Amino acid sequence: MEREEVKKRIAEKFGAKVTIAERSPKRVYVYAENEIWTDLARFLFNDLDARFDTGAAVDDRDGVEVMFFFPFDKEHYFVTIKTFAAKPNPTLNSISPFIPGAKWIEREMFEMYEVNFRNHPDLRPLLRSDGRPADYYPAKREVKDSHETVRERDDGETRADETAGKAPKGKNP
Amino acid sequence: MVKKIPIGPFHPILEEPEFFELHVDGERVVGIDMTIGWSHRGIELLSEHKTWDQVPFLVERICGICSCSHPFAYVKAVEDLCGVEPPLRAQLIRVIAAELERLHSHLLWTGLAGHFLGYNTVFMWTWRFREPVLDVLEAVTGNRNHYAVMKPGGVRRDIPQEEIPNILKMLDNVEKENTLLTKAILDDPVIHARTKGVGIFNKEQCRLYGALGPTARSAGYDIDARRDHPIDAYDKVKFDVILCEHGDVFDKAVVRQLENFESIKIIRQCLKLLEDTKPGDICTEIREVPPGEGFGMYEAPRGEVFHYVRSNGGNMPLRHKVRAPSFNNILTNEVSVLGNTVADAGLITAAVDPCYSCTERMGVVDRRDGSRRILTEADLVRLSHEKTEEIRKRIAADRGNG
Amino acid sequence: MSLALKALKKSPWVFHVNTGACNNCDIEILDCLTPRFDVERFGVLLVGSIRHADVLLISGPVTQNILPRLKRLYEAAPRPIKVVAFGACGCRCGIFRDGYNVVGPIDKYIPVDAYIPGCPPKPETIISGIVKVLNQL
Repeated sequence: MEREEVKKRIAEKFGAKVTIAERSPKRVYVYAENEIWTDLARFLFNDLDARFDTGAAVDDRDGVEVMFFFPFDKEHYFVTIKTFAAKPNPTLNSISPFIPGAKWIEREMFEMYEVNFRNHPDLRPLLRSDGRPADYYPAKREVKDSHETVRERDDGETRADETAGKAPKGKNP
Repeated sequence: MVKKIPIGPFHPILEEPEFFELHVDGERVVGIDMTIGWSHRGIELLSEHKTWDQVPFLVERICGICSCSHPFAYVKAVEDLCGVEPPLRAQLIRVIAAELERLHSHLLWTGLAGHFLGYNTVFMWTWRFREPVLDVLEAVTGNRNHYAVMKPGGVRRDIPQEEIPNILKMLDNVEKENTLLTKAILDDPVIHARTKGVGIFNKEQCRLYGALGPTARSAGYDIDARRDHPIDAYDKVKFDVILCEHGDVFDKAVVRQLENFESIKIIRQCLKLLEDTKPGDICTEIREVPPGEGFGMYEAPRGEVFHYVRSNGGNMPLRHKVRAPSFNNILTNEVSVLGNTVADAGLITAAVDPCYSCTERMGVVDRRDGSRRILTEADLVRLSHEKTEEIRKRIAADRGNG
Repeated sequence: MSLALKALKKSPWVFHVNTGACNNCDIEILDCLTPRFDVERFGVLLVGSIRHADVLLISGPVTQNILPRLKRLYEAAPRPIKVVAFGACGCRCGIFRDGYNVVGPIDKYIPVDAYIPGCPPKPETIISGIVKVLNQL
């Protein structure tokens, strides 16, 4: 389905609840509100016949930005749908009941960023080892800083360069 | 009565450790539970502490076999973010390196599949055919495996003009050997009996589970990121997308074998196009990475690799998301293993060519009394070999009667 | 030299463990077995169980998840066992040194007899490493 057609149909169906932007002819972005988020994904996947590719999450100060990518292969472009799950306790509806391929990526987001997906069939951490506490979310901003350990050289001295090369803390927008 | 068979997390043959729990009723598999994360190293978080130019070296170490595809997708993501296109010569060199990688990766899988079936001859032969490809890669990029050829904006090394005849000669040889191998696979009744109708994954399931690469194409699900989202020189070369229809293990093998010929075709065209470009013009300089986001994808041997980067205008990525094809493909085991026998389970889970490695030890836990029987991985391979042997005898007997 | 040790030198059986490597090392190990390099001519054989092994070949930085399994594996190995740390990651964690889930190189947890560096080591390096391990016996 052509790009303009897809944009028109999304705008018709969801009206003011979505914002549609276009960065380049191959990249269409749809920002959605939380409550219509799963409807939008279902509409793209079932009605507009997009392929489900994958998802990503970006941690921000006030919440977690969650996005899923839906490529339209025949027309060579991507539709990215985005929503913002506000902190604390970011919670969203899960899309895996109707897209089983999203099961693992949602589990990964849950594990890394503590995004709770409601109605997910099996929301467990995907990669976490048994030795870690159950509430350890490694990619969260607050936790991430604690990973930067000062390493010791083989002769026992602290390596200055490894700590000096890190990005300054708290400067990210 | 349902028994659980844990397989994992170590395996002597393949790559990353992975843990499967097969739920079996007699010989039939009725359920599977997969645990991954054994080789979780936190690469996405590591790459947030590397500069844009350093990340390619990190991402090529995600997977040793896809070590050209991951940097390829990453540099495309950065170029998407910056809005630059590399010069034509750089595009061609990227495509050549990536297709050489596909060639060696598919040969590698065929060999391993042969090993799983109990055909160690296939294993030895294909891996011998694979060596010249690695030699060429070493000559072109400087390393047998981690090529370090990609760089945002271009490539790091030019292909010297005097190497080109060697590459062409290697391609001729590999084409001949691949023809031989393909014929051998298509003709062998035992391979037919072992792999046809095993581990079926149909087209609709492919769509639902987001299956990628040969796994999807073997079921007739027509996706190929090289054609659908052409990057670099892929819109300047002609190639076919190989499709099969059944989605069983046999079709997966056939798709991979036939894709080798397409790779050879692409490399030949690229080498021809390379003649018209100026040697040394291999990089567009990227001075600054603007704030924003970009993503890139590339059709790796196993399926589409997807990289997403977010920048805040600094010299490191703010967020870097990697989605390897096996992430989607391994999930398909959930469906394709069901209803098959334990002897086939190893083959099916291997057929998606996962970056996986399961175990040498499996314990059969009887749910009723909790008693535990320890089987070794050798037993799993032995089960598979025994089945092949049985089929071989049966076919020989049929021929004798006929 | 005891008879058992003499026999062992003629045919060391190798068990290979990946503790979080990028699987390139693993592929190169397999490559050594195939016709071009063919370490089987020294009697080296890759086995499917740690109970049969004389040499434990470990590639990769040790991740948090795999650490308890690695220790168990080492305990299960028959003695004498030679442990070889394989690749840059096996020796010093390589590029994954700062990863949050990487708990350190192999020799931090189990004693290592030989190191084969490289990313990945070339098959020639692997063969030379194997010969050195055999000479240690």
